Amino acid sequence: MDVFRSLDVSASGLAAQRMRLEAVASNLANAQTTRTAEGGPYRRRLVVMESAPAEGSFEDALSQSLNEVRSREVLAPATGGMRRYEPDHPDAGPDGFVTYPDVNPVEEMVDLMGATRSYEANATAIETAKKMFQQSLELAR
Amino acid sequence: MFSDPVYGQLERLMDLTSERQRLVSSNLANIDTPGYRAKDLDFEASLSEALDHNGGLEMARTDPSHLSGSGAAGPSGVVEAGGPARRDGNNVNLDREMAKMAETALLFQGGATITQLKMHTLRNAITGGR
Repeated sequence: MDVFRSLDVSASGLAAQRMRLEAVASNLANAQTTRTAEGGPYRRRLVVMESAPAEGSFEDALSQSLNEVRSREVLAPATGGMRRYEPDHPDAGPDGFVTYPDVNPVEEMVDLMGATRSYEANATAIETAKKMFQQSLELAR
Repeated sequence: MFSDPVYGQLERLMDLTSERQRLVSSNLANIDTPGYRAKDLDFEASLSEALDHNGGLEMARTDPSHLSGSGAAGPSGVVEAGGPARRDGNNVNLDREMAKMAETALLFQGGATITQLKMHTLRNAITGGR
């Protein structure tokens, strides 16, 4: 049924934006984390998205017109991070500097707003598809 | 009764609008995908072609896997939407997609309502208005 494929596509968008929200939450929560399981300070999480043809009928395979979105969480490229002179800190290096994660709260908040809006757009698309499906069901009345 | 070509035309209107809605969903899902190009249905052209070309006549399909011969939106109807791309190569425009979605939903609703009215008339005739 075609309407369900449209819902699948929108759901993939919702999932991708939610993953982006989770990455932002993780980055903000760990903005001051200086030790991790992998060692070293926390590294910023980023979500990358790519489009992939939605699985469907033969006709759609020909046109490649419907695209789901797939998202993946990746670690931001290692940068120096922020170094602060705190010789009393348990994670301070021999020179007395502590390396903090490279998380910029302003950047994260902007990303958060973008993800929220995109999430809403996908939710509205689901709502519209549902309404249309409901209307065609009404035909049988 | 059901040979009335208007039924076929209404069906095509609803087919095309739901196809367009699917493309809008796909564009919105990929609104943050780098390099993605927005897709759209050449809606007016597809619809008028569907209506003129075979005013309500269907091509025979002897096997369910045959492509429909009707003017329903096939691969040829899908076009890449124009418009400036962002720096990441994506050219999905949220405002345009939302407007398109509203328009599509209204057209679909119109098609569904008219079909329902026609059915209702028919039912009235059958039951003698009781």
